[in-house]
Amino acid sequence: MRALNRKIGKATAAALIFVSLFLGLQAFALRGGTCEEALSRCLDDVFTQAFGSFGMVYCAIGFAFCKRYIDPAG
Amino acid sequence: MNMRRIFMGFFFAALVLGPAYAAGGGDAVRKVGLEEVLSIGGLDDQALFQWTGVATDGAGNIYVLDAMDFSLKKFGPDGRLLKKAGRKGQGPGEFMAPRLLACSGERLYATDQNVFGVYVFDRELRFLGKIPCPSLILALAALGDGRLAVAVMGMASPGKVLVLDADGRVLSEFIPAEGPGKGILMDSMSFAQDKDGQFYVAYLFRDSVEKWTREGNRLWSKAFLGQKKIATTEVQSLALPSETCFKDVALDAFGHVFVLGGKLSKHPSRDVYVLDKYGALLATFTLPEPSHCLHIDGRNYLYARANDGITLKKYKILYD
Repeated sequence: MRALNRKIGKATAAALIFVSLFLGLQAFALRGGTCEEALSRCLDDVFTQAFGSFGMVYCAIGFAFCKRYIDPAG
Repeated sequence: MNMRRIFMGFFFAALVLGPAYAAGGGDAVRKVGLEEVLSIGGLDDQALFQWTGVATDGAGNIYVLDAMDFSLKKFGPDGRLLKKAGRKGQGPGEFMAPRLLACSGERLYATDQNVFGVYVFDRELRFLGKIPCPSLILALAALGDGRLAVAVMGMASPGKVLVLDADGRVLSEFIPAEGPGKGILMDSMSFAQDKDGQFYVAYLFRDSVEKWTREGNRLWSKAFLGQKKIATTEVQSLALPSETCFKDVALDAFGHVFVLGGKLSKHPSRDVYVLDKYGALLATFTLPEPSHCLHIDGRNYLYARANDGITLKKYKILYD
């Protein structure tokens, strides 16, 4: 029973981190500034860092979309 | 006798060269122009806030993803808003950062920047479900029969083009980004598929437009910007490309390839390079305003952005 509780607790924590990561990464779409600034903020994000290279892929894709869609000088 | 030989010579020449010319789409195009036929959204209305993806159906309806409105919108051929679906969120049919859109038959396919998969809607904008994808998606095309092609990227591995079935199973894949210029984001791409199933790939951060077979063989590669090396910028020890080469690629009904140039074009995000199916440059033209994408429907109307995404313009393509 204790093992099951521990498992559920871990799953909940992972889900919470995921949700927070998704919310945090909206920085690219919502905040102003250049794509480089947005990328820097994304890489600084504690949740991005928690996901290592996955987090970097999120940020890099955000940068690519920003350059293509948002940056007027891009 | 001689006359007969000459006649036979002409006959065989026509037999051999005729189909080759026709297969080239009658590539006598030397000049391409645009005539605006429709404008949707403006500074004084709320039709569009910042559109990102656009698709059209055979009836002339126009579907648009609006990133600032977190929605999918359907406009009639006259530009009237018919329907709107979606809202901000992560539930079924909701968006946080809507990006790419494609239409095939009765289905619409939409992506969200941070979602591993493709949302499916019907043409009445009813949410039908999600096709899972193993990675985040950078480019999307609907291939018919429920199949999709998506471009995905990895940090350690090069970007790939995956062909997925309606359940998200990977039917085939190939890795187009090879040769010099590998690095973070150097494989960011847009692509379009022709009637023969071959892919035209345009790279966001490489001066390269390529044609690939669906089996993954490169048929040709062309550069149009004279850029051997793309400038990079360092962000927290990551060296990232800072200037865009090509933002999108689309095909017209004749099979001509339209490639939208990025910042490194003479007119940034406005110059369009028109190629034949062999990669020869036939013409260039300049959009009235910068755009992030190009869409061409089956009747050779071209759709592009204006007013930083507040406006969608529809143009008739004029060939000379």
